[in-house]
Amino acid sequence: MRREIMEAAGLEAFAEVGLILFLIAFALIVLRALFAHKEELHHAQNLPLEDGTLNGQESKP
Amino acid sequence: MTRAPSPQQPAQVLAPAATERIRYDDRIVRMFVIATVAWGIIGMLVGVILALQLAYFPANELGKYFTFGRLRPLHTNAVIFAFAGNAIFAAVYYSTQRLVKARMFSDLMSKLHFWGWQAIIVAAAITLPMGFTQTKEYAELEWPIALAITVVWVIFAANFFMTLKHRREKHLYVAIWFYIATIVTVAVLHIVNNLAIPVGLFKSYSIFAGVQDAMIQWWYGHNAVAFVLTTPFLGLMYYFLPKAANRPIYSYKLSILHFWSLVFIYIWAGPHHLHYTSLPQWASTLGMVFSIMLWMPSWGGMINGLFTLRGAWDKVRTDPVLKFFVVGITFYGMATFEGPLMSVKLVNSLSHYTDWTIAHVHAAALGWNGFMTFGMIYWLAPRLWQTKLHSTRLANAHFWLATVGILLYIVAMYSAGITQGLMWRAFDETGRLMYPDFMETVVAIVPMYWVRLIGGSIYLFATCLGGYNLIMTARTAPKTLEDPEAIVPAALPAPKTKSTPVKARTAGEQANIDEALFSIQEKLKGGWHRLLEGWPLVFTILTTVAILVGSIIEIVPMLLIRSSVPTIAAVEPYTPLELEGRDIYIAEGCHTCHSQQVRPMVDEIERYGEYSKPGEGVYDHPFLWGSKRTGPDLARVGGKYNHFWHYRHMIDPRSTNTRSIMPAYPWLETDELDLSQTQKKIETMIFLGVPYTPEQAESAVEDARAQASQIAQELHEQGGPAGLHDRDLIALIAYLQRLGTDISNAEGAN
Repeated sequence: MRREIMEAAGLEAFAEVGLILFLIAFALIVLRALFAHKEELHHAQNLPLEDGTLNGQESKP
Repeated sequence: MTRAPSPQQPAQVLAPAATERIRYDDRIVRMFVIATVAWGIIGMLVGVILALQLAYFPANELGKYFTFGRLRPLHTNAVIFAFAGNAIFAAVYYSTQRLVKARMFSDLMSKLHFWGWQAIIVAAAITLPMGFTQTKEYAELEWPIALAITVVWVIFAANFFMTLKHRREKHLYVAIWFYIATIVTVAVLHIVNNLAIPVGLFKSYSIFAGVQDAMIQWWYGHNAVAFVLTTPFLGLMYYFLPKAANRPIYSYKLSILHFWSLVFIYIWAGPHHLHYTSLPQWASTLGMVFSIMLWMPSWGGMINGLFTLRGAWDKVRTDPVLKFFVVGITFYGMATFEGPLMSVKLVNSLSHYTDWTIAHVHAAALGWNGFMTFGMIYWLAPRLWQTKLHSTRLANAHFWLATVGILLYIVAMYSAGITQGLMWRAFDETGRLMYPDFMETVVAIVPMYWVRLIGGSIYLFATCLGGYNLIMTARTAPKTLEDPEAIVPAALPAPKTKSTPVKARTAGEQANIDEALFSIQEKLKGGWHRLLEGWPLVFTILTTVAILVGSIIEIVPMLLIRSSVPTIAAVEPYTPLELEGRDIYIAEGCHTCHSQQVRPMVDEIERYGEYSKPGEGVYDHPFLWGSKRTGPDLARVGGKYNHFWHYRHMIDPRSTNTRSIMPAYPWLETDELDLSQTQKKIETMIFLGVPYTPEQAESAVEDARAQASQIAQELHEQGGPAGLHDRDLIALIAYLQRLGTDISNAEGAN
């Protein structure tokens, strides 16, 4: 009964559209990561280590 | 707000021309760190009390306001929003300032955020034991407090985004992306899941009902795990782990993949909480598929974290901070492997409603959230209080005790969950249930409840050691703690406004256009994502779109098919007395131990009766399917026992089953039934689309009294005491006797 109603509602397309959207978005992200510039990545990676705090202000444990 | 000295001030003399000196606000971080530890101890203490109540039922006799059903939401809210919540804010306030090289936009807003959040926690601690609850897991707080959360969250978001606007570092580090995702997604989740119509100051009804309400709730519930307990902690990991290891994150490329795929996929996975329920199969399957896909980003993140320690593993032996981080990240990997595994329908059919889920949740909460929090605090404490950590040995003791505590806890709960799940579905050679008495399956796992109590107590004790270490560290701090000073790049120039009037193009203006085009070209050299990261607003919008895609695709069809949910003619709205009884059931937290959803499985149908249909819940505002069966399912309990059995069961559960671990509810016999809001409740239900007539609303109190008198009379005739017609217990019996009877009546008619 439930299956017949759900099939009649024709909702299958929603899942398919969602999956396609995801795949497109993910492909773009992979491309972006693959073609990122080394300098950019190096700069970004080191941001936590370069917060500009002056010596003596942040005491070490 | 503390303003940074201008370039003309003396401080600038020491700094290069393109830099300036600012001070980061560490006071607010200290406040959140203290709140984290204090609420953590309280939340875990409540958890230990709950563990004791399950192992030793007399521990429920602390009084009306301290039974398991009332304390359980207090524990979950305290641990998620008070302990983890304050830890998140500490991490955000500390790391954001340093990553964008700007003090928080407004000290006043920071303080309003802090005190507003603590006030909300106190309000939760008062109202939940009093029975004021919406029942939705991790969203139990009633509408005035839910509104307050919205206001405080907006203050936090405004302060955060304004800080980004005034940043001095163009690139937004990956931790900031995770914070952005948290802020926008929590806002969306909180608003949608709390859509309710108030009946009184502390009572409201969800605008959604039955299967739709369940779908919304678990879209929220799952993503509360995702965007409160995962993404901000990943932000924490991406900032504090490199700091503690003194080396950059292993792969920034991996972090980009981690972020976008996690944000996009996580939002879809909610329906895996509703396998084999009345939820449409397509939604359930979609949730499962996306849950399995979560393996990829989750393990990408874990690998990125652990590989950051390459060449620094020797430090893990001596540094408690790294110890906490390594084990925390390992628990992240384990929990995010197990979660998708449990979302596979076949596995879920065994694990759901059992303590396996409790084991999974606590492996993540105690291992991932707890250890990442403690690692952060041990790293922060000497810096925030500008002194040495009181005791590294004590921190190491904290680590080892907490690890042993977690292991005892989760091993016991895995054992309990799998044992009970297998017992529920066991049939003997004659084709009958091997353990037809539900209590047989409970008694078998009570020894594991004791082991859980021991494990949880050890973890709590370890947390207290951490609290002591923190207090002792703070006591040796300098008397005047100045905010740390930093030399940062000069503020980015303000964006150009569009107020310049458009004129005819001249040669000079053509040069300006060329300049602008070259500028864009220059920006694009860093890649389009780089450009995007320079625009927090656009980045935020795209993140919001990413989380909305999954939400809309899953939820909108659920709302649209309202007319096509197979309605069952025999299903009628509750009588006024039954509705009052339902509200007592909600206030006592019965749903924390009893589900109301029979899954379409042979053993469940054999044990409870006909499986649950979507059309049965169309008037259930809110749904009460539950997520854990400490006691049996109640979807078909109506008419199974007489009134007197229910009376005895509530007053003394051991009188109906000597092995029961359920709390006694003697006050239900003495508390007077309050019908002052009954008419308004019916009117609210009419507003929500429940087909009562206005006449039924007007006569609601009269009808309730008439039905109560009838049930009280029948109870007396069955051997119960006389004169209970105006007591809470009668309303609760009326509700319980109604459950599942619409279906059985329909079958009888057929």
